[in-house]
Amino acid sequence: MAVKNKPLIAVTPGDITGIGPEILAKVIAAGPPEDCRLLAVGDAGVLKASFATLGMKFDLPVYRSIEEAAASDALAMVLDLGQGGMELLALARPHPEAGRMAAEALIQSVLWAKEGKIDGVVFGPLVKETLNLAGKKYNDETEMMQEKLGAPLLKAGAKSGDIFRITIAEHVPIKKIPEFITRENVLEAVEILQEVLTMYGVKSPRIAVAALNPHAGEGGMVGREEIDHIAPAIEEAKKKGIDVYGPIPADTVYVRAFQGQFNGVVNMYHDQANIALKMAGFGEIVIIFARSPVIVTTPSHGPAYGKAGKDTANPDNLMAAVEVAASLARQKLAQ
Amino acid sequence: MSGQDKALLAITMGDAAGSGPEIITKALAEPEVRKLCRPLVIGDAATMKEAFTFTRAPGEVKAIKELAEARFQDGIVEVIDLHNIVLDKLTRGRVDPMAGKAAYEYIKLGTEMALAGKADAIVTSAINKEALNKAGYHYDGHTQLLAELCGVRDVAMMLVTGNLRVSHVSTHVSLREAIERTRPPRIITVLKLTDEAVKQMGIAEPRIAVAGLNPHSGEGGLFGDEEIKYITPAIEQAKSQGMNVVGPLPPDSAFLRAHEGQFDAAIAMYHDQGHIAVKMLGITFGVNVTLGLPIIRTSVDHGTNFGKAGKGTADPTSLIEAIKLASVMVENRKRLAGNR
Repeated sequence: MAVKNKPLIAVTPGDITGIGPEILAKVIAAGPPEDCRLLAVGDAGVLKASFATLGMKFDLPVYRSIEEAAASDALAMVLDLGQGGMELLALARPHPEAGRMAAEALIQSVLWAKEGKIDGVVFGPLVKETLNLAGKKYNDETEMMQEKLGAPLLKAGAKSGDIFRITIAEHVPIKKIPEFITRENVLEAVEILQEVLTMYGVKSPRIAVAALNPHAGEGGMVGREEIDHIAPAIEEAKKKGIDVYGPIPADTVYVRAFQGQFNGVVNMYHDQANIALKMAGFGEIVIIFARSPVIVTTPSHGPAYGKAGKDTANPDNLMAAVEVAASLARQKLAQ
Repeated sequence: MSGQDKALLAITMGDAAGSGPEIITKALAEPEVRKLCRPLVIGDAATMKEAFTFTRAPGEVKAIKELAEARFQDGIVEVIDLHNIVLDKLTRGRVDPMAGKAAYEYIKLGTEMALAGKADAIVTSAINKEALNKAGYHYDGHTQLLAELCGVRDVAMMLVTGNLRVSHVSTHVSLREAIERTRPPRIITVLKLTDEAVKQMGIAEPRIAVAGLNPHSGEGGLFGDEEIKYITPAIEQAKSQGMNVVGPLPPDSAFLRAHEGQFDAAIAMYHDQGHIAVKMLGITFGVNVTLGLPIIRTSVDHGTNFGKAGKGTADPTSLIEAIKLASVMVENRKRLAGNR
């Protein structure tokens, strides 16, 4: 709940055997982004230990109840779940108990958000392999949140700089990509991206749809997916009032987006977006969950076990995820 | 460097309705270009003369009939005049079969000169594919045409932008077809051609990165198995032949790492994989190099830019870089041949 119009954003450390607790400590030490309050949700002992490892002073208020935390006017605080786990800190490899703790902190936070006690959730880097809750294993965090929230939820939007994107066939073999390129999937992706842009408060969003084939198929000479599926979906989206362009050759779509021509890009596959964004120097990609009853974001990197406990982990991506969540929460509060 | 040692470059004029002729007037006015090479334009003298009136670049056109007449003096743009454009009938910025046919003839002559050893390399200006096809020459672009003129099949496209050099296993095919082409013989061919070309660019022991095909380079088979079945075996074979090759690397880091200086070249498995990386660096100074020809060929990495034709405003940077790169490759080819 917002105190003095400052949304309260829960941040979980993710997998505590990785860099999560360290980057969370660094984000707290750097101070929350303007106009929001940070609530670190996890084990207070683990967080204190992370501060100590980094040589930082820990002077945050620690609460055991969400009501107390929500009423606090501190800008940064800890909600102690009393999970323990000190022995797992910076273990630098996946561990089932750490997976359970990460899942518990995340699910507790999204449930509080659903009840309106907090305004948004940012979860730290975790791995699917160890994700479990009350003896049950989940394929990924999306499936787990969907079950607990009882609502559809999509790991969908991602923000890099000022550009939002959605990818139709993300983590699938390239051979299978054409199967995903249907009129329905393209249209749905355009609509979701439009929702994310609107949710973020972008005025009159302009969305580009990347092509699948080189030169956007060149009139069917080098591939027909543009003619058969992508272009018809774009026409349908236009009829629904969305300001959408394409199919645009994938090798120029981000060049044009960075020139300010588009706010959002619908990608057909993973590397279309990732090659362009990494070449442009955007390592900090924030993942936004769309069609969710609560605001949820997360950084795009993993727990980086190799860097755990070494004070070398970069907190910028987690901070960017907090900023996006805070911004989305302010938009929602303003409505 | 004395005049005779400098690379003699056959520079084709490209599509007369586009910005090619104007770009040539600007590029050949650069002292740096004149220092590096002996340029000879293969084109239409009247079109080149008119291009000077658009750009007001310093210099003038001298029409010649054959190479023996060329003197390569600063300030003079010598044009082997094929006299194949009727200026009164040419509309700039519009597809014209006459310009398409003329562009074909420049490439044919330039290639023949290079094959005969009269020119050291060919540097090509932009052509319009539609004009070429409407003139009855059915090619999907320069590369296919050059391969046919040279009688070779195994060619590859390399894009060079600054320090990033990217060769492509396939280019002008659908993504579905590109996946089918990701096979060891072709990958090894492209690796060999890249290794040779980078050596010609002056790097004695090229370090080459190979991108995977799938996201995260397949992540151990989870997101595709072409890396395991085809790409890794090809890399192993290239290594056994003495090449310094690393990969398969995740596509979203292979090109970035090459750009950061960790590799001298990177191999892309399909058109957009390589082109996305290169174009994000900016296209104004990109050069396109055809590997696998018996001749050295570099090209501008942009289109005919019909929108700027006749306005004198087209940017010559890509052509200047293409000329510089061809000159360097000619020089190193001589040196490497001498070392044998």
